[in-house]
Amino acid sequence: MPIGEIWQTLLETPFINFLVALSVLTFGSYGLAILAFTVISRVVTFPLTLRTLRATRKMQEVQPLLQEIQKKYSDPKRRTEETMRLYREQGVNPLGCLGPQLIQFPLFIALYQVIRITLGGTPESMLYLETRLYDVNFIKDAIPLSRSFLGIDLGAQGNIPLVVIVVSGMWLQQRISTSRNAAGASAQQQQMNQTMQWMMPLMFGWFSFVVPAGLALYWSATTIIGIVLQWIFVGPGDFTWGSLVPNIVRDALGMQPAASRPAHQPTRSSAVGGDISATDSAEPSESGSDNGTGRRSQRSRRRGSDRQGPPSAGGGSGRSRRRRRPRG
Amino acid sequence: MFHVKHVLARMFHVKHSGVARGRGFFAILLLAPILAGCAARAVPDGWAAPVASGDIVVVHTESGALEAFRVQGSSATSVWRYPLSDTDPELKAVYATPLVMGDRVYVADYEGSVLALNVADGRPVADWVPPKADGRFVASPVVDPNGRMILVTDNGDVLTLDLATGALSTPVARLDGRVWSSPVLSGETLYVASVDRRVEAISIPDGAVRWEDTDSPVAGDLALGAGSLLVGGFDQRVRAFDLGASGDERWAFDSNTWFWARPLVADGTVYVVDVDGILFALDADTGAEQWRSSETFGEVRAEPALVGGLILVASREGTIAAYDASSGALRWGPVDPEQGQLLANPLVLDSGEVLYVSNEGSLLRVEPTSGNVTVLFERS
Repeated sequence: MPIGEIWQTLLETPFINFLVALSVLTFGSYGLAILAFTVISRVVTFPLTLRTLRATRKMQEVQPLLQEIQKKYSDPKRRTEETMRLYREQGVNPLGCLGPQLIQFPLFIALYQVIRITLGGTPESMLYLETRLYDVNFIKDAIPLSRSFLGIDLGAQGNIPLVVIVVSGMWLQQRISTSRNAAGASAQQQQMNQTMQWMMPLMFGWFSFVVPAGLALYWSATTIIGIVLQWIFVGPGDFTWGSLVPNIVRDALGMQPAASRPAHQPTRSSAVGGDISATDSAEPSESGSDNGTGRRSQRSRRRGSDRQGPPSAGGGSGRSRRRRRPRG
Repeated sequence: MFHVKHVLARMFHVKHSGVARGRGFFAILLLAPILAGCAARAVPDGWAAPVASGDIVVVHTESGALEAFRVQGSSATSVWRYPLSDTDPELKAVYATPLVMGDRVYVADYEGSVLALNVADGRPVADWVPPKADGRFVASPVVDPNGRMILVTDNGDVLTLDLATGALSTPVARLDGRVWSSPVLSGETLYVASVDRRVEAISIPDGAVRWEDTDSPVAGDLALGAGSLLVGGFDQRVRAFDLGASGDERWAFDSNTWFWARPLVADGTVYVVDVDGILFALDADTGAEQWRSSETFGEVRAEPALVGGLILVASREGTIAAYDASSGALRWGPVDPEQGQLLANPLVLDSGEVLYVSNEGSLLRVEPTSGNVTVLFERS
């Protein structure tokens, strides 16, 4: 059987029929069906998501030790050996996030296809949809699906409110995850993080703009669920809602400057077994390639330290240590 | 997917090199077209039927392109193509069957424009500024007794067009839902149906709705015959409505799948094919089934053609078969000329031959009695 047929038979077609059946169960509302479908798909892939989140957290915890290895060893071979040794000792699989992502990727692609096909935007696609429906009366009778949801034409492109939700949601998600490892990162990394923090949301925002609103609705919902899951299972890190207020606004309102990102410190348990000094990583980068971002970060850290007092030997404030304590 | 950043970030953490950074950006660049490809909208191709004006046949050969042929026997000579240059008014995908009136052919496209071309040379009619509707045209237009073209956009606007000047009216009526089904006109009443479960009888002079039905989602073209309006829908039924003032349902015939092809009425019998390709013969007065074909050869969108006691059925899979109109027995086929999908309605020539256009732009000529299929034109 060709791979295209396997793909259709095992993934796309069951998903299409499931979504159509869901629309019947959600009182004929295709928008509600998409939302229900999003929640169900996130529940089904939750074990994979959890593995990814855990692997992400584990990787973040060893970042300071990785930094030390980078500083300590200039020989690439030795550096790699030490890095791998650190991974072994800390039980970190550097591809721990990638595996679940790779497994989920076909599912996500199938979901996109399913929403596109079930929308039946052109006469051809509607005719094609018929060939994908199971020979069950209540499924065949459910067509056409209602394209209107909360005033949104789910088949139309360029729905601005949904694009805004996707961009801001993804930005927030990036911001939360970036905040955890920002302090342990080099200037180069921080620059990269800054770039990614904007590039990914804008890229997905553009996708949401050019695809039918039904897909953008799915994207919005799955992003919000992703934020909630990340918040619950990884935690907000050093992110605070107050940090979203720009300093220029704070100045105008006479508020204190935004709290800086405290230095990310490994917990004691994460440092155990490592031959690298955990406290070293809390020092500002001395890299000659430091740029404005790095300097800003250093200044911020100093301001943060002034307010919060000196970091403890275990690294960072007790608050941040508690937050980073591994769960489960 | 939303953790791609972590994967990429890890690459930077492990290897702080320009190469690694390049990999990260490369991964994003790779991801972008994949996602865009996955999420891209289906591209409309159009399935306009060929139309004849004398011995010239105008064919929608590909999305946004027309070609006219002079068909003589088993050969076809290209007469003109449209567009010829970038200055020609743009044409998009065409679903609506072009309308030939006098020496002009009018073409309504999926972007809502109506072009007028000279049949003889395919050049745009002088002084005709293509009117643009606020909607797309999928349904084929009809002409009212006053010589005006009546068009229905896919968002349900019923419009009239002055064929001399190209002036497009404001909507004279509006139907709820997407209209892909070609309307029919009986006297001053226009019968229109929408995919979103609506069949309406609209008085053209004043736009008043004479009656409406909200049971059947309809995408297939409507038909008139034996005093009834015939409607095939996604609700797996063919229904006959009385043409009188009340629009009462005269009968309904249930199948096991959707109907998309236009029903064909002849000699008190309704011939209709469902999407699965089963051909039914129904009594036009009662809807009682007379016979059904026992063989199917693929999904069907194109209306059947009745020629010399044979019903020709073409499928999405590109095959053509002929059934005996009186018994439903398979007379020949399926013949597969391997020219792509056959979704457009056929054109029956005065000579009794039948022309089909495939979605790949091939023009096929079928000799009904023998079942010979000749490829008159094949797009290179």
